[in-house]
Amino acid sequence: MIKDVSFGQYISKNSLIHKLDPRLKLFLLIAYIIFIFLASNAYSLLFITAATFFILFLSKISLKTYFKNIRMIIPIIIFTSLLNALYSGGGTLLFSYGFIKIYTSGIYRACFMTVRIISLILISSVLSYTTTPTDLTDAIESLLSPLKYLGLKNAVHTMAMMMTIALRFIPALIEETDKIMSSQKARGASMESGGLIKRIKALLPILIPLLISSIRRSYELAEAMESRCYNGAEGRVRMKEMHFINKDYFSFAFSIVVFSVTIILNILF
Amino acid sequence: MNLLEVKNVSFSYNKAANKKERKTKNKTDNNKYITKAAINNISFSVKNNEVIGVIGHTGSGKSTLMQTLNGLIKPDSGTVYFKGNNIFLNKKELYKFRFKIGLVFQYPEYQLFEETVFKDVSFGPKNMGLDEENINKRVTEALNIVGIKKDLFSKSPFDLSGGQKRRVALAGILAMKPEVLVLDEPTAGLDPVGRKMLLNSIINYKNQNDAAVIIVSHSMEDLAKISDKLLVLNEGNQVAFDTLNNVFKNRERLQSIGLDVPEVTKIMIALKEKGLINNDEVYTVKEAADIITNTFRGCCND
Repeated sequence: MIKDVSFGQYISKNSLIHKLDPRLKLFLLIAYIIFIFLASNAYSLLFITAATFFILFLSKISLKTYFKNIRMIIPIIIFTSLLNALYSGGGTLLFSYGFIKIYTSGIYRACFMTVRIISLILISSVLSYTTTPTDLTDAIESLLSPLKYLGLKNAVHTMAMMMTIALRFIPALIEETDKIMSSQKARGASMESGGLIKRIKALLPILIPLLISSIRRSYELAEAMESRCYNGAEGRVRMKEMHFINKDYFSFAFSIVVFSVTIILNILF
Repeated sequence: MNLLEVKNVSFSYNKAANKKERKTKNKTDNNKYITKAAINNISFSVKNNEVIGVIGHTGSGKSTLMQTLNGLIKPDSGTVYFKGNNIFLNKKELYKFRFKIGLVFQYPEYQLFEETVFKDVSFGPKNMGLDEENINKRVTEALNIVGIKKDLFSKSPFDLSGGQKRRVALAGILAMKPEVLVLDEPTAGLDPVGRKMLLNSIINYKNQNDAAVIIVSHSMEDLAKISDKLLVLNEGNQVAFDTLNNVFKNRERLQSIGLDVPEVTKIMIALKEKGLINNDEVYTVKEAADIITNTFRGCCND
């Protein structure tokens, strides 16, 4: 049952978005998030949302898959909409019951926030669906590389390596947990019954072996890396160098246009 | 009467994913995307004081089958009977059968967690709800059978050697006094002395408690030494469930699924081909030594 939990949402497809340089994708994601927040009226927000949907379409991943991510944040959407609907005054009064008063501007704010949150989630999903975790850590390492002028070259590399290893070990640890749970069940451990304290106690026979095996694994990995002369960032070269190609320049230009139009719409209306 | 009976058990992993795949791909190629079963229509049975060896190449479904025996995996079809009772009949009663059908996983030493060896072995009996006196008796007995000395009882299980850890983990199952003992490659990764000690503990337990043993192993030598019958699996299918003689007689079939007869049998087959001996149905070194010495003593006395 625990195996069903998928980690890392990468979906392999052959699309323009998949082929983009991960550094550019990461940079543009941050830019899109900033501009979605900057869009201050309905026109600019609708425009940048439309652009977001165009990007979703380019990624060749079905909308259904994207909306799965939205389902998880429905409580947050409802909560923010309610707060906005209740606390903004102005416009005509639509509904009142005791201290609850809902105005037209409240409804407008609620819709505005909902669209904004949905766009944010959708555009963030594009990155996680189209970029492998390894590419992503490489991108982060590359984008943080200016820090080497501050004498932090090794620190950046170490952080990126730690992230890569952590991501690599998640499936292995899930499998290990499954195995340990099965073997404790074979000794009659029950994890589904009893009160809170009993359940927490029932976790110990799983957590302790899991912790010990992670420590063992990390020792083994450290030794394997050392025996292959791993030496941190010093003198290390990459197998896959990241290069900007035409696709990347085109996507960058496209995004600049989207951002400019958003700002113009902000100013005009 | 059969102590444990497995009837037409089938199971496949990733059903949901496969269903989806079949729906979309069926149109193009019907045969290619039929769900591949981890185990397919397996039937066998075991009696008291009987040892069944399970052999098969990597990925032949041995481990999956072992986990269905004590109900950790519920088969898609078919079922398991313990003393005539269907263990999957009542979901809430299922865990009780796990005390009767003890399963020792591969590398069971990774399940150890308590502060002391004694406490760890008593985890199983405690889950059975026994009183303290009974628990202490069972734990001491189990640790005796696997040959762990008294002075190690209060040590941390993590301070022991690999072979000792393995034996403590085995004791953790034996302390529940299962009537059927299921072992998934119990000797993997042990040195020859460790292997011998572990196999002896298993046989001693079986003899003392009149228990049935089902043991998975890659070592034909080990299985030939202790098994009464062999269950041969290949890609989830049951190839044979028969006596040692009948399984090893058909060497070509074993070789065709990536297995072979024990090393000593190969020697005896070669000797028979040269006409030096007349019996090659020999599966243990001891038997082989007896036959060879008898044959040649006969020849040289003439």
